[in-house]
Amino acid sequence: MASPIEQFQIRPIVPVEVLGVDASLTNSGVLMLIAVTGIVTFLTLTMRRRALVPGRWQSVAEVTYEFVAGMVRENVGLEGRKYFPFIFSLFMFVLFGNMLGMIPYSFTFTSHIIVTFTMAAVVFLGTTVIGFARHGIGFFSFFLPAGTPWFVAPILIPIEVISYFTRPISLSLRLFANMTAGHTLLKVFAGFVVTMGLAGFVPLVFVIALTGLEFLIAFLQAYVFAILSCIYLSDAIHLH
Amino acid sequence: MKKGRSSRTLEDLDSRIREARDKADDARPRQDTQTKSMGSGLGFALRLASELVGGLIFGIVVGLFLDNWLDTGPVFLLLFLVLGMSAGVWNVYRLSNRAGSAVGFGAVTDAHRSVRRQTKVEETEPPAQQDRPTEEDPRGKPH
Repeated sequence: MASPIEQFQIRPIVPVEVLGVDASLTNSGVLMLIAVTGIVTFLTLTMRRRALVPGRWQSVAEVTYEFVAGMVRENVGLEGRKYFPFIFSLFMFVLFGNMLGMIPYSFTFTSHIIVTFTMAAVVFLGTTVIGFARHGIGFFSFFLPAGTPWFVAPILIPIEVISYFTRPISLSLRLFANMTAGHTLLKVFAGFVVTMGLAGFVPLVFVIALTGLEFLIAFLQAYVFAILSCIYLSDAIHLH
Repeated sequence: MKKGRSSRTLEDLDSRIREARDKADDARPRQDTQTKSMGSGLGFALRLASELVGGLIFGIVVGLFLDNWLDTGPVFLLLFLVLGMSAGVWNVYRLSNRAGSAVGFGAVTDAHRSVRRQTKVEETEPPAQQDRPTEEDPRGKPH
């Protein structure tokens, strides 16, 4: 029986080597390409007709747009408008990655921490740069907010600085852990179905329920990833 | 009947549309908060857990790195382990105070006040509203 974590194995599909560095196109890379092409095709095809009264597909695209736009408006405010394309791309990429991973025999690229960490690091570096660009040195006041008693400051500042640096870690960890744990669990229970023989219908029911839960989590994690990026962005812009 | 319909002007239609839209607006927020709090209740729980673990991992990584670099036994590992854990707990504390990712005491006391106000309101309301999503809390603090 296949090991439950075999599904996360990276396999090269088109071997490429650039200057001694292995830059092969892997199954992870292929799924990312599929996700990006999928998003672009989905949005261009659905918005091709641009009717005043939207059809079914156009509504789907508009709902996605308004969902993310509302999220940015609520969490960042009007200044967040110019960062909308970034948040929208991030949300769609994570969402498609999670959802494509739900197709049997496909691969979930969000279940690799290096992928999620790269996205989180981009968000973290981007918001930090935006914060410094907008507030200059004043951005450091972020770590010692007004109203702090002086005797707490020596303890609070290191903790605040560290808690700022944990942001990309917890952001990437959450997505990675959820996808990995969910898919492993699915495989484990699916393995029980075969080994338990006639009683296998019990884990089978579980697998069906878990699949539904996984779809919820796939959406929820994309939502949480995007909304936390919004909150970090808002911190950088408003300094609270 | 036919006469009545023809006498209905566009303004009448307009007012009826407005009426219907007002009704829909009344209905929408309630439904929205309910579904949102359902979904992000789970999201919130996962967020708390990852915040805790994230602080710990950061402390371990930085501590090990500094110890390796400066060759100073487990000094920095222990120091940053404690600091990282404190940061994680501090983040969880702030999140559960509905202060979002806000920093510091001003923000927390603000949140306390709003929580108190909320609980006062909730006393008359069913407790189903209790777990309001914090993410959508647009941090009603002065910027």
